[in-house]
Amino acid sequence: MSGRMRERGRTINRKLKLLVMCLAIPGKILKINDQLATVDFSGIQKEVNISLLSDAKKGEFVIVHAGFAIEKIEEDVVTDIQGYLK
Amino acid sequence: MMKNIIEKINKLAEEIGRNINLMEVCGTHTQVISRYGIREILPKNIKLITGPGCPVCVTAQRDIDAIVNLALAGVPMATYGDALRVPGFFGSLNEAREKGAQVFDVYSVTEAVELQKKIPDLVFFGLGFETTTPMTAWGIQQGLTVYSAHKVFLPAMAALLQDKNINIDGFIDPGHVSVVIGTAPYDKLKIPQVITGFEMEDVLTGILLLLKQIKNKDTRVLNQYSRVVKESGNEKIQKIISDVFEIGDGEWRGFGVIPKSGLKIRKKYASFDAKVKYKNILDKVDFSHSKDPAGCRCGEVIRGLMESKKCPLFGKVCTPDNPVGPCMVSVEGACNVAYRYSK
Amino acid sequence: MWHIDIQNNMNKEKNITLDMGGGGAKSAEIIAEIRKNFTVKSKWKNTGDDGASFELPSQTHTTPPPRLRGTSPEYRGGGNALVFTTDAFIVDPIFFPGGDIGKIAMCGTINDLAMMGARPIGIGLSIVLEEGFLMADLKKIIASIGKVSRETGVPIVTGDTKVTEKGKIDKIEITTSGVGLAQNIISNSGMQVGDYIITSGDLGEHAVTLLATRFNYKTKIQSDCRPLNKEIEKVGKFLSACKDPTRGGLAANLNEMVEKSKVKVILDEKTLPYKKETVAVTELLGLDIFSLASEGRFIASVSPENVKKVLTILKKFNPEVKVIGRAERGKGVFVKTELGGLRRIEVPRGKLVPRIC
Repeated sequence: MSGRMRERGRTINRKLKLLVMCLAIPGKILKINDQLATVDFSGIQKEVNISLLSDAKKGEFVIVHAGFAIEKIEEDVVTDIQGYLK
Repeated sequence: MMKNIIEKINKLAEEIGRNINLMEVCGTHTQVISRYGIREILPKNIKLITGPGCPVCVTAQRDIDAIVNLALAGVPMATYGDALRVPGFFGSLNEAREKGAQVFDVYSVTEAVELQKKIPDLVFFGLGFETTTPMTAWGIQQGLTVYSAHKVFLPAMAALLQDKNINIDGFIDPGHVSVVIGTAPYDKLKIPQVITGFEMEDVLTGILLLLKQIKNKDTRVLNQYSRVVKESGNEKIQKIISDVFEIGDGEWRGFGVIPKSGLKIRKKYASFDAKVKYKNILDKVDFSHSKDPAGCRCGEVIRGLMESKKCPLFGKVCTPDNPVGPCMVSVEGACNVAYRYSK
Repeated sequence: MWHIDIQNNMNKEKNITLDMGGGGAKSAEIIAEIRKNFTVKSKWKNTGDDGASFELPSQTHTTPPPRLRGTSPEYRGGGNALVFTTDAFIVDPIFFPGGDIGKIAMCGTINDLAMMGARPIGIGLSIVLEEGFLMADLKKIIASIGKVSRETGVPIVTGDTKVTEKGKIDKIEITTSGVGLAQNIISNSGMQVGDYIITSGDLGEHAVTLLATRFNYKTKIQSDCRPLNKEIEKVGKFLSACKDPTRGGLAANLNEMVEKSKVKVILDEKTLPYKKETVAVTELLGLDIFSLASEGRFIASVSPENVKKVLTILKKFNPEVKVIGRAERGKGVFVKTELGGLRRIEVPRGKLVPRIC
């Protein structure tokens, strides 16, 4: 069983994760109301506090931990990894 | 894709030849590695050791005893789930609740802030590293009173490297701590490192990158989790943390005091610091018993010096149902993970 | 193993704790402790299935019908067996997307009878209300009960209502008892090596619904609460074992079936019966997905020669029906991971989601 979650251009295979109290999981911002955003996690929507982000826009994906978004998920960031793996 | 990575890992391990110790230091990685059975498919000379990545596990017995005493003295306490079950010398928070103390299990600091509207004396027990510290800092800025056992993670990694009882060849750095602090702080450790995500492919790629560095005698901090971890980290979070907290000594289970590893609430927020507000209760507590329970080897497990299964209490006296130490309490603890995934 | 636990743990406990009602290992311990006190012997058989059965004297049969695989040999006598079950319902909140406490009280007992292969013939309904309970809410709950009764054709034949002072109970508590007749009892210990393990639909959605309501999540997922008697009427005779994963979810219930049947079951990670929303809720709350309860699904074992037929019939009720694994020699319940390793699914311990049914 795996649900697929699109992280802005990158598909993540959302296999069965497990019982971690503090697992940070990715969600999509549907709506912003001041410091709170409605974030969608594979069909479950909840309110998330976005005051720890310097900016956030509707449609962006964020990593959420213990009720707070801690960072945005950026697509296709270029790093030295690709070269190093060759 | 995975097969390719595993083949490359096998090839590198053979080329390196000698025994290699890689350490993961993140509670979530601990779980993911056991859950996916990653250790079972690694070549025999590559050992994956669990380090002090579990925030509940590394919380000093003294801090547990302090908050349990506050609870028993009538101070309403709120904290994250697993922390309620850690058995201190005076019992756990859950046991304090059974004796009539007001103890609340919250999933988020926002719940604690809401709760405080109904219970003005509420104290939030803040524990964990840079991933959970910002939420606590935000809470304090909203007027929440906090007992801080928060820690800065890097000094513990440096302490591990100083420990002559263990030889670490590379670290899988903690994913979400890195989201906050960025990649630069790890450079000073001068050892191969990789920051990875939490999918199976992420972790395997991370191991591959470490082995490549080891073979090439390279010591870099490679960021495989770049979709979330920025080089400079999350600067807004860093500002919020430094507005509320300052660095002091930190007491860790297993390590004892590590200088410059603890986060104390700054004087300007002293009225929200439970250690100041309830100094009269805390001063009366006898902390001389605040050490690991008799026979408990969590201190060694946390530092990667002992495998969970080798602890004489593991699975017999100490189980998730009847835990002796925090490594068995927390779902991110090495012993709890080992127990749940043992066949 | 459990005997040792009972002696050691129960003697230490002074108070009832929440995890004793969770459906996991501690629940089993306290139930066993309670049962030790009931020593009156009778012809009722309770092998730890969902209800107790009583063989009625045969009136018309002269030759016993052939024994169907997985059924207990005592019922070859040809008579019907009377099945009797009871359950208490304290679900919180009492109204939730997809149902309410009335619906779950009816479906719970009808399903317990169905899980034993019995055709429900009557329900006894007992309601205890807290002083101050809203009449409009009671009317809604009664209407739900009536609806299930009409849809399934199962009558409510006796009942009782009590009211207690405010604060003595929490709003409402319903107990339903049910009687059914079975030609052949489907036990939950009949799994055979080689049997396919199937689920009648995706699991855990009742739990997800309650959790979403409690934690203010918005989702399209609704409770999976529904009666299963019609499905069982059609496929019951082809099932070697059957159980509905209510409290304790798949983890508790499949483990029970596997332990009693003395087999090992390996589930395939790629075909686990959970929707992405269910996975998301477990991640947000740090829960074990395998312990999430359903109130309108069953897990069953089917022989290889019958599985295709059973899946075809059940697909008409729910297209999500699927094979999730197979029984083999050994013990325990495991999930085969992508890397090829086996991960054990344990009987849940500790505080599960409280007041889910």
